[in-house]
Amino acid sequence: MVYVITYPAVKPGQRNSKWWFRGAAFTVGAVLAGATLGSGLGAVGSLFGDGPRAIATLVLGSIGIFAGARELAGRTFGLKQFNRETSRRRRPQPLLWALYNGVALGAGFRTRLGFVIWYAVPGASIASGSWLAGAIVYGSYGAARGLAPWLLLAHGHLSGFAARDLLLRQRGLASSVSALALITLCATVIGRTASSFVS
Amino acid sequence: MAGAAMGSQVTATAFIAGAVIAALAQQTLP
Repeated sequence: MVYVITYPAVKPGQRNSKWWFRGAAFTVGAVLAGATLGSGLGAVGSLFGDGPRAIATLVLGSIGIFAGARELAGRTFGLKQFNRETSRRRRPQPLLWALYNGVALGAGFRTRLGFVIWYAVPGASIASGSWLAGAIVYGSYGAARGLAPWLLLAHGHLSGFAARDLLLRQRGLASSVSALALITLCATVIGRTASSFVS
Repeated sequence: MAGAAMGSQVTATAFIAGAVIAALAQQTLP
């Protein structure tokens, strides 16, 4: 299971917990990190009130459509990000490292972002103006990252080959799909926000 | 769900779908 199970940051002799236990710690860490960050950002968004938040949503949504179109056209971005993976040295204890890796990936910004759509996750949490909505949006991101290795593992068991290797060759497709998703998301939110002004 | 931008099921679904797609796309990163 990617870094958590098949490639943990520990020497073989130190792997004293079962692999699925480390996998569960990873998933729990990812979900909790996303939900916690999302609830905080949603609460911050609620401080601004509906009017200013709607205006910010329109502006950022427009920027999102521009950025998505640019990514779709194959223009690369110098994304503001920590372009790195979770350090394998900082947590020698395997269970703690799996949890730490889950938190890092569930939060997203601690590691490589890759695609401009990532910014829509914290952006949507703030725009929601609700700690619960923020927790659901960012928590969905954390859950998807936390559960993806299980899906890859299950796929590998059923098919007999590593889906991970296939996925690594699909970065171009992922870029197009995520750019289209970002444009659709921003257009939807702009449309709904603008119509709330009219009504 | 509360909030102007989250005020409908359509935007809520778009937000959640966007978050899941963002997460899955990142699985293609090395």
